[in-house]
Amino acid sequence: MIMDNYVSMFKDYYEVAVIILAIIGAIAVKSRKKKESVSSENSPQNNTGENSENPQDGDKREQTYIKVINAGIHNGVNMTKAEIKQDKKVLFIDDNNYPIIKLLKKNGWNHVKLINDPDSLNSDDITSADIIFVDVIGVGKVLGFQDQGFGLAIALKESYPNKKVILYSQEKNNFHKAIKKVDAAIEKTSNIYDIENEILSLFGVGAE
Amino acid sequence: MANRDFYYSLWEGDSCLVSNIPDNLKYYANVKSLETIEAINKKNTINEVINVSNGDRYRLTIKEEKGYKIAFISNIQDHIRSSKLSIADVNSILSRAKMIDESISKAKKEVRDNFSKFTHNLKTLCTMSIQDIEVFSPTGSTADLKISKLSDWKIYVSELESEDKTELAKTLMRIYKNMQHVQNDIMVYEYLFDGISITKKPNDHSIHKIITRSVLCCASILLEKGVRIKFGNSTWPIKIDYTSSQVALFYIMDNIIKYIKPNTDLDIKFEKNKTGKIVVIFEMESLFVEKSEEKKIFEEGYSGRHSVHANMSGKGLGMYTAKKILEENNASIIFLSTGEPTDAFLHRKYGKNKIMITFN
Repeated sequence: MIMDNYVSMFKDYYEVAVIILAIIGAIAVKSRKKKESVSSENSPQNNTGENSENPQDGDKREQTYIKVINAGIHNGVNMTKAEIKQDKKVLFIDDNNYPIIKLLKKNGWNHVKLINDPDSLNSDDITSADIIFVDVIGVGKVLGFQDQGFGLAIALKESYPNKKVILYSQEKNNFHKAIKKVDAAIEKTSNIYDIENEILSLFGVGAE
Repeated sequence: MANRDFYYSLWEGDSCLVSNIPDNLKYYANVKSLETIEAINKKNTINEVINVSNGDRYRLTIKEEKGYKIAFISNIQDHIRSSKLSIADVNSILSRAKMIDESISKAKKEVRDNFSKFTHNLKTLCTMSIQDIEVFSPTGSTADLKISKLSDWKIYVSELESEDKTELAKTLMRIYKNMQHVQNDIMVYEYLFDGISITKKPNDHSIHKIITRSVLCCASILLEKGVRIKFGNSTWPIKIDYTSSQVALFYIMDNIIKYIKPNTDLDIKFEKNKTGKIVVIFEMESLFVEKSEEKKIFEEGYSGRHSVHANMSGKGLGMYTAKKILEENNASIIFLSTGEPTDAFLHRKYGKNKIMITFN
């Protein structure tokens, strides 16, 4: 009799546990589908402004996006500082070889590169970059931009709206229309701490 | 009694364009007094003889026309006697007000532009040097630092120990050259734009040492470009001002660094010409210069055609400055091109070029 009661109670608990687990499972599946849908909306394939992404980088990008999806991340938002440093590709377009490249590498930025002046907006360096720093004087000449770096920065932002384009100049050029079109403007005299924070803030990561 | 003279201040609105009125007369020659007179004087003019505080008599004429105001004050007898003469002189200045205004604006813009170029260069050199130092210093790290680590020098030393010594040496030499550049740019700015003459202390020096020291400052950058420096011998003495000649040679070396073809030779030779003067020759393969440009590259603001084409041109001040300072030291400089390009590399045309400096 007592035994029968225990069996009946166990059956009740078992049924309740199964129901709870089923609900949790359903929520998890729904949440995962929603995240995948948001991420795919922002993937290069669906991005009309970035049709010229280099197909050779497809595998690497796929890995990056898988990582992004797995972490429940959308376009860098919610990425940790370490993940941004690890994954994001930073490109400097500058006719002077500033040691900033070495400084960023010293601080854990994994993909940092400098080019002097691009001869195409579809070059591998540009299509693969996530963040592009554009100097104002001495660049954009090869592509014939009258406003040099300003013109180049505007063209980059218009061609690749999802990339972060940052004007990087020795002078304060607060009045040029390019300032409103790009994601940020940083003076070259800025300290590495300042520059790093500016990049991170574009991905929603604040200063520590 | 003060010296007989006239003074005036010319205004556009509330902005004084030019004034030579002495302090003791400024109170009387105040263009604002027009505003109180305006109501009773439809001509917008004051023209009267006044006694200033020390008892001296002056003719004061204030007039406004076409947006310009002038305060004119004179103790010249003809002006004191004749209001017509004063107003005629005032009209004469006022008729040129627009031209004076434009000349002043142009001069101010020139000063601003020169200063802006100067500060741009300084900021670039400082930023590069700071970043170069930060690569080898804890200040270049964005990580938070435990304050207890600052109790001794270990934190600074450990950064250096972890770095390659060759990289460290290259960095130190880059910073050295940058600082030399800053110092030279300041001197040249004062010389070219502030009219401060170069202090010259001509002394006997070995020409070999003068050239060696200027090359050493830039040699590491040449090495980074893979340039081999071949140095001739000489024991000849020259009489020259060391400091300014080093500035001139710095700009020549800076030009060579910029335009020499990577992985080639820089041949530095010492010769005596037919008249017994010492000639230093820098022979190299560098960016192609047309025969017709040999003299032009020493003109202020001129950049070589191929330099512009290769997107390498600067402000066109380096070689101009070098020539000017060498001339101050009784030395002359010429550029010789073979007139035929030798090679193309990275879409740039190169040619065999010579820079020859003759010391008197």
